[in-house]
Amino acid sequence: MATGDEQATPISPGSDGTPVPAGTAVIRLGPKPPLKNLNDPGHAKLALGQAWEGLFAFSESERKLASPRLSVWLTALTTPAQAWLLVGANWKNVILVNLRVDQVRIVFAPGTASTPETPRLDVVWEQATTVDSNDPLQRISETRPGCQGHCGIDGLYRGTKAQRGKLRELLTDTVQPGDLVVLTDEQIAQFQAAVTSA
Amino acid sequence: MFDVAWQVPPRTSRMPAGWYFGDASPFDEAVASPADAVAVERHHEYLVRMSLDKVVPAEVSAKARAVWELARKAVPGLPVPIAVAYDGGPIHYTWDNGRQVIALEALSGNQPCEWYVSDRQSGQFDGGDFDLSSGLPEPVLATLNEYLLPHPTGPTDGNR
Repeated sequence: MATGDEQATPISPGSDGTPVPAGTAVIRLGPKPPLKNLNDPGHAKLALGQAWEGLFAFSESERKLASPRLSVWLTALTTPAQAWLLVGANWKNVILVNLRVDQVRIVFAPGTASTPETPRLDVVWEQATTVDSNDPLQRISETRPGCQGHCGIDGLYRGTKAQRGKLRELLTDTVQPGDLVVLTDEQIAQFQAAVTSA
Repeated sequence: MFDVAWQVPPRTSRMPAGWYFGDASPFDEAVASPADAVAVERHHEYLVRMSLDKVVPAEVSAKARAVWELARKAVPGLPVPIAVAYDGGPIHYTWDNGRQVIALEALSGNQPCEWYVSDRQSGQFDGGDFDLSSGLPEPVLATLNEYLLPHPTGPTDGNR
C-alpha cells in the first residue's frame, strides 16, 4: 500500500528504441516548426493554447528516414531549460507541448477492409545528437546536461496516408488545455539564467 | 469569373516564378466579407514569404496557393486554414471545426499533394494523394461542403 513516503525509482536511459517507463511525461519543444513558419490562423490557435494535427507532421527530409520519430524529452531527466538549450537555445519561436506517455501509447489508427490497424504509438529512448563543431555535416553524441532524457514518439509514420493522418489527429487529441504554451521572453530569460548558472 | 490563366497546371508543368503571386485572383469573388478579404490577403502574403525566405521551394508555395484556391472556390466563405511550413516542404493545411478535420499538403518537386479527412463523430477517415490538375478529391470536397454547416459538436465559423 502506498504511503506517500516511497522514493521514486530513478530513471535510467535505456538503449535506443526501447520504451521509456510508463507513467512518465515528455515535452515537445520547438523550434520545429518555428513560429515564423505559421500563418495567422496558426498563431491564433497557439494563442488559445490549442494544438492541431499539422503541428505533428514531418518535414519531407524527415519522411525519408526509415522510421522517423518525433523528438521529445522525458521530463524526469530533462528540464525545459535544458531542453531549450539542447534544441538550439532559440530566443524566440519556442512552442512547448506537454504529452503524457501513457496517453500517447493508447493511440493507434483503425484498420480498413484492406489494411490492418496500425501498431500503437510508443515513446522510446533515442540518443541525443548534436552537430559536430569540427564537421557541420556530421552529428555526434550529445553530452550536455539533460541529454539523457531524449526520446522519440515512434510510429507516427506507419500505415496508409489515411492512417498517418488519423495518428496525427489522435495524438493531437491527447493534448489537454494548458499542455501547449508559447514560451514568453521572460520564461526564456529564466531558461537562459538557469542553464548559465548550472 | 474563373479565368483560364488561373487554372491549375499539371503538376509536371513548370510554374513561372511568381505565377500565383500576381494581381487579384479570379477566386476573389468567393471572399465573403472585407474581414475575410484581409485574412485571405494575409495568407497570400504568408505563402509568398515562405518562398522568399526560402523556408520552402517556390513550387511548394505555389502549389499551396493553388490548393487553397481550389478549396475556397469549392466552398465560398471557407476560412483560411491553419498553415505550417516545414523546412524544405511541405506546407501543411488544417481545417478543424471540432467534428471534421481536413488536412491538405503541398509537397516539393513532382510529388502529388496529400489529403486527409476525418469525421470525429462517425469515426470515418480517409486519405491519399491527388494531382492539382485533377482538382480536390471527392471526399475532400464533400467534407469541405459540410464544414461550415451547423453541428452540435463544435463551432461552425472557422477553425476550432
